[in-house]
Amino acid sequence: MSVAVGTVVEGMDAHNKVTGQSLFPGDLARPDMLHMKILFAGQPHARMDSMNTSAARSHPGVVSVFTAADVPVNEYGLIKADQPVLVGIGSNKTGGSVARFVGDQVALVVAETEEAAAEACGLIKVDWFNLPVITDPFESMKSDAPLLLPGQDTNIAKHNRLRKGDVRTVWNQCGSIVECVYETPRQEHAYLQPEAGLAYIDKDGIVTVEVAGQWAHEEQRQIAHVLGIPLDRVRVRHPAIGGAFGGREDISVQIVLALAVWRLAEQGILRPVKIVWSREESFLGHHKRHPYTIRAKWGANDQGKILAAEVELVADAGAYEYTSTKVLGNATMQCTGPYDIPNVSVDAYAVYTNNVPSGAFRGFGGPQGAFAAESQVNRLASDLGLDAVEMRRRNLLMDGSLGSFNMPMPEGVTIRQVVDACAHQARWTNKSYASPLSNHLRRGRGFACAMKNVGFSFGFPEECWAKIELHGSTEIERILLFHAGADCGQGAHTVLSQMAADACQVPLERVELRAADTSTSKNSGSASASRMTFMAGNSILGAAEVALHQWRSEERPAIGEYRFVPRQTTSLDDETGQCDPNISYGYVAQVVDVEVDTETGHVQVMDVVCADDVGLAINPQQVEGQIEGAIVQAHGYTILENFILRDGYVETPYFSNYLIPTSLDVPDSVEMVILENADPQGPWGARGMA
Amino acid sequence: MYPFNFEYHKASSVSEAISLLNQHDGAKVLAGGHSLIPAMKLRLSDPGVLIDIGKIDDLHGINASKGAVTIGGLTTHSDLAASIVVPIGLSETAGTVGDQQVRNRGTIGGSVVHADPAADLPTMLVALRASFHISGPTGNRTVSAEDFFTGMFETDLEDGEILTAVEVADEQSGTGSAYSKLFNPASGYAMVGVAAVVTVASGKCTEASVVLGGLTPSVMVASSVADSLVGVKLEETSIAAAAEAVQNDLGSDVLGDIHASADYRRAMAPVYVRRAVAAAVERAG
Amino acid sequence: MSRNVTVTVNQSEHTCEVEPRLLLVHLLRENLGLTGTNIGCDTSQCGSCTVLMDGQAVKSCTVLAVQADEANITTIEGLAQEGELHPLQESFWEKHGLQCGFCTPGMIMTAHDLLSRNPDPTDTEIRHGLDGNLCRCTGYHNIVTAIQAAASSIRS
Repeated sequence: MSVAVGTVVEGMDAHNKVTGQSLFPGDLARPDMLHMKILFAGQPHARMDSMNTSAARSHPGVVSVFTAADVPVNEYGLIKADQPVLVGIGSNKTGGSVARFVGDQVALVVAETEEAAAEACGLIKVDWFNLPVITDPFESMKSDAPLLLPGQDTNIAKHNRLRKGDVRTVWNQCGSIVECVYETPRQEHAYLQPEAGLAYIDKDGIVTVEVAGQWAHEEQRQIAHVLGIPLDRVRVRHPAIGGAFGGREDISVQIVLALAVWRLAEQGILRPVKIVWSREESFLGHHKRHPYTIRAKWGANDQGKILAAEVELVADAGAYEYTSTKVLGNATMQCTGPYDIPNVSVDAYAVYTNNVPSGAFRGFGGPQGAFAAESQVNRLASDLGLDAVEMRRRNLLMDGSLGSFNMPMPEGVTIRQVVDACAHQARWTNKSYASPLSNHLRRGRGFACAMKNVGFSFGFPEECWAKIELHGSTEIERILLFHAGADCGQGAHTVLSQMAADACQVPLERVELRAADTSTSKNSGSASASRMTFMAGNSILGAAEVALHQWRSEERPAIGEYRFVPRQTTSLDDETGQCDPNISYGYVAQVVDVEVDTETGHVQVMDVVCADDVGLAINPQQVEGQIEGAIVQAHGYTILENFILRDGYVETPYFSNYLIPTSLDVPDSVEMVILENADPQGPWGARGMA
Repeated sequence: MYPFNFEYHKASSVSEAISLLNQHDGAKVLAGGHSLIPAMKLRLSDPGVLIDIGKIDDLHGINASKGAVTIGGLTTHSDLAASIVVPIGLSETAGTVGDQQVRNRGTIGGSVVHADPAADLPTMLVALRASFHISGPTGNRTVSAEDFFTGMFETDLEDGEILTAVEVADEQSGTGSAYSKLFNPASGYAMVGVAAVVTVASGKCTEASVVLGGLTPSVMVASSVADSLVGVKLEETSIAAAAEAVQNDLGSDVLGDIHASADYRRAMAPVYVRRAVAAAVERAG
Repeated sequence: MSRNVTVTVNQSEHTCEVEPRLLLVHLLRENLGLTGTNIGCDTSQCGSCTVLMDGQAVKSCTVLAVQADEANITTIEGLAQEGELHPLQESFWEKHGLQCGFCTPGMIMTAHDLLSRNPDPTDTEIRHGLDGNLCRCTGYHNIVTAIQAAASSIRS
């Protein structure tokens, strides 16, 4: 019996958020704390020849200045440790004196006040030797392009190749062939809370960092790696997180904060250090959604059956790897859509440049691929005189379909139900608005659908840990749930608590969550990849089962600990790309009505109908909130947002020139259809949303 | 974010403000601060000395008498937007400035004196043939809005002077005013802003004043458009034809940025001229 | 250079010695420890720092502390009265008008100003009233719904 899952529960943290009591990282304070500012390179590609910090060091209020020479192991990165923590002289890693994008960090100034630290940053003198700047991935791919990273013989970070059937043999059977190039802009996460954090060394000598992140244990791992100390000497804790959307998946201020308190302690200074980034620093300092150029050639027969898709994708990875190689995998998957296409040829490249690094952002490469795929299907349908929904119905994946990776889709393929539900709700017909509203306003409507992976892909190790303690004597009076999952605003902590209550069949009020702290939890993986509900739910179910067994054996408290490991995925075959890429999927379809002012080009999104198969909505209110928020981010991405770099320099450093949707831009209505077709592997059948 | 440090003085009267201004070379006047403080935060402005006039009672308030409306320099956009005594085009324009919080603090005097080419009020005030009352060390003077704006961020205001009030004539029946703009989605600034004031008698235009903002370094009077309107029966086609004449007024120096290129703004000029004029005609009844 | 500023914040009076360049938001956050008012941008766009100054919503990042001398300030911390949440706080909570919550204090303070001007607004009027406050999580729909709910609760 469901006691807490599948029902609306108001956010656990909402009371503190509406009263101003929530503590975001920038709100944290400790007695005697110092303030830190970072000097950024400001150079898209240059080698540091000299640096003089003496004026900064003697500036009033400055306590210390740290440079590359102070970094024990001067490299970090989520997938590959290819970025210097601090660029400069004395780096102990090859290539550590080269800045590869404007936001590379070169020095840390710690002072009594933020102002003093900022002023001292301005006093640091650096001589740079300019190196060739490459900002176009197509230029960077050329064999004679200067190499941007040490130890590489090409600037191509990853090349994914899919070969299924043989596209060359079927073009002549196609009644329509559509060939098009799609370009997608660089997008900034623009979470409202700029990066901030507080670090200190606790009474046991543990380097402690309180910061907004998406994966506490990964942050802990990278800090320990850089400081060259054991994992258990580092603690990462997430206070309230002001949005993330993938933008906090890579390191921002975590390592430098730890480095500062660590080095200060060596000097006998045991004082906390705080940093708060400005919006400009945030825009400069973290990665963006990859710009993609996608060349697609698709063919379908007269009946609307898609016979072939030949696609080339080139992603601008920027200066370092971040998650580019993984994002590329998702784009590789999405660029042929949720369709059963017998002949597929895809070449996808992630390419280094001297631009701001690209990385994770909601959808993780999916939106770029889906934009091309869905545009191709709409064009084919139009060319063949077919209804856009009917065209899809003739090609959608189903259980047992092979997919473009030439392996059977995991059971629970419901894209057809989702497409039908969406079309039905929107009263879809193939007629566009025939009569204009006025002289200059025209309306149009469009259809698109997609699938989204649940969990890490392509063989990347997956795991999720949970611990449940049952307290009480004759009945369970209190549940303590230990879990490292980050709540970035999506409501994960509320959902984790709901799932624990349900798994133990006790009222939600009895659940107490100890979350997002490496000192109380083991690794639960990141709050990303649409994985947290799915993985955490399974780990909570496992932990509850063990705990309840203990409870029945009269253990008090009864403790259950569980590490959930889902079925193993596999990585792409080098030649054909054949693999079992994902554990499971969620499915989505949308109808969007827009109004276009033909005199000005202004596009107003009017109405959106969105159908999602979420397996089970653990918390329907939160699921709807996620959908509404995602639609508006997608709306911004499509119509307003463009993070512009010129010659490697940021042209849109503020909200005054990087435009995100306001309350005036958003659609008049968003109608949601929540489907709940249980995922066979999902906890309570849930897929990727809470 | 901290601006550069500065010396701060609070004036309690216009004469004290003028005296303080004249004691401190390069001192700037602080009214609502909604142009100045953002620039100071980004350290684009470093005034050294600020004279805060925000608490001078004489500079507040809107007074209508004898066919004219006098608007104190510290009147906020918010108060202007809510006013029923000022011409409707002016309250409409004030309501499009920034957002509610900005309108609560930003002032008409600040907007006028700052003379940002993307500002809204200067465009409408020139169209309304407003006059500006100025006080300085040598006394008071009045200058027409059209003569006041001399360039990008440049005005006729001399060092040591303060703009105390803006005066506009009452809107007569048969006259309508309206503002139409292509706004910057972030700040609400005008990328193209058009103010139109049109007088209609027996279906024909007897007088027209059309002014452009956001397009050129300084507010520009679109006299070709006005000339094309006067004497004409105002219908959709005649308004559209007159609006095309804006290209004669624009000249070669059209502003552009990443949000709207010069070519785009130029192309949009007749569209917004047409919309502003049509709305003004409708209001003229 | 420093001056004394006397402000009444959430009904209690404070006199602080400040540099003229100190922004009101820093006075609130750092001198008075009221960290509910957030800073989300450098350019007066995001509205996270919105507070009421003499009853009107202002972006406290664009007001100097010295300009707030003798002013009456209400921050998010001062909205609840005697432990009773303000209807806007209730409705943002109940209608899921927030996700990460960073923009929420500013949204609520702006909505407060909006409802004081217009107790029975349309959805369109609410959207216009909020265009100086950015939210990246919710898509604004539940914020509008929450403000409607609060308006209706205040009217009754």
